[in-house]
Amino acid sequence: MNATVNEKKLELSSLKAMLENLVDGVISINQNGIIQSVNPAVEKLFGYHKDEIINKNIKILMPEPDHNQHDQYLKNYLTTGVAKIIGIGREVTGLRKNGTTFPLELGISEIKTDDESVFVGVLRDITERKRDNELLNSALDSLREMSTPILVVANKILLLPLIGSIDSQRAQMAMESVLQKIQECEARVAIIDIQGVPGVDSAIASHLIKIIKATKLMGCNCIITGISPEVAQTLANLGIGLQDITTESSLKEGLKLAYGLLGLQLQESKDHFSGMASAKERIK
Amino acid sequence: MGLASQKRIMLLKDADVIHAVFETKQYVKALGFTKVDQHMIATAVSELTKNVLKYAQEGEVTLNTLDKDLKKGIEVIVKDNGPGILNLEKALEDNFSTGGTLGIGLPGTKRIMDEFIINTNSSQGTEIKTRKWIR
Ligand SMILES: Nc1ncnc2c1ncn2[C@@H]1O[C@H](COP(=O)(O)OP(=O)(O)OP(=O)(O)O)[C@@H](O)[C@H]1O
Ligand SMILES: [Mg+2]
Repeated sequence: MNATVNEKKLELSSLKAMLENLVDGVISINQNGIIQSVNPAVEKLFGYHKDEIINKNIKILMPEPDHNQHDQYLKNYLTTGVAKIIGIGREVTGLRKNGTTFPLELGISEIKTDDESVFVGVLRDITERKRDNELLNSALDSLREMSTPILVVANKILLLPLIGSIDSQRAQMAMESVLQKIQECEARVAIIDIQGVPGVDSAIASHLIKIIKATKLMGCNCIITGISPEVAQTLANLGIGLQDITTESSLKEGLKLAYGLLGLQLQESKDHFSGMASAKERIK
Repeated sequence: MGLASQKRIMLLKDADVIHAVFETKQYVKALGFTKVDQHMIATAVSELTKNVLKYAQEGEVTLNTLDKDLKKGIEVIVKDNGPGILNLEKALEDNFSTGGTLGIGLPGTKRIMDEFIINTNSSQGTEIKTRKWIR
């Protein structure tokens, strides 16, 4: 009996240590929206000391319109049971003590006791991810002006837009520079867009396959985008199967997939966060 | 329609392949092939002309318009005076290559086109005559 008590104590203290050191913010509220506890990351994220927010309504951490509506959100959930955010996770805006706002990814789980519910929210600052996104958009704009660049569109995502005819020399150059860039940036996903290639014959396909194999050997996923219906049909007739190759119709879809791949990998690598990762997988 | 126009392109350097492919695209588009077929025929020309530069150094491609019995189509003739295809049977199989590539240029072209005839020997080189009809 003593042993199990000790085990429980150990479990509790390791849980506590985890919460203390987690980079993600964790907040618990009761069913009236009153903050019960926060971890140190929350203090950092919002610029409050925990004594300033514990026992306050969670809405002080939200800008309008959520600020005014949150009590209603909670009431709706408690009466209808229809979850808009619980167990789903979504992007929201946080309000710091100094009045500035920032983007957050929020996942909420409900812990039910006999007569009451406690809601636990896990928050992640996604300012950087948003900035990457903006970077990406401006990169896409300048893309059209360049010929064979390799772009770092976001952390760990490379884009190699192939434009014009590709001979073996150019393919070799592209391969060398993409491999070097993968190493430099520790890229996890390389997108090769071939929309700008006027024709794809067996030689070009063979170059592409070589590049894909080499990037895979470096632990980098490769996505081919911009394959037109004509190219797809021609390749099929030539006898080049694309089944082993990840393809997306458009560059946009390819980027989405790349983000998805990275997002999942990021979350999978933190096991205390696996609850949210699986929640994300479910929405897909 | 009158006499069908003919187009001939010398194959001496890599850029000539790009030129031949470009000309083929224009040619078949004007003939009225579908977009997919335009792409397929251009790819066939790309395969055959690349083979010429790779295995026979130089040659020539000719595009002819076919117009008989209400059927219209294109004829592509690719000629070189190279060493000839040593093992024709093997060369027409998928994944056979003496050049370290995929080895689907010839069999793939055969699948893409409607008619495909090869004349090859070590003294005169290789001539590939291939046709595709508008569907
Ligand atoms: N014009 C030619 N003259 C001499 N040999 C040729 C010629 N064309 C093809 N060959 C021979 O036939 C083989 C098969 O040609 P094919 O185009 O199918 O494959 P490949 O050129 O080797 O590879 P790829 O798939 O890149 O085209 C070649 O490897 C070569 O040995
Ligand atoms: Mg070939």
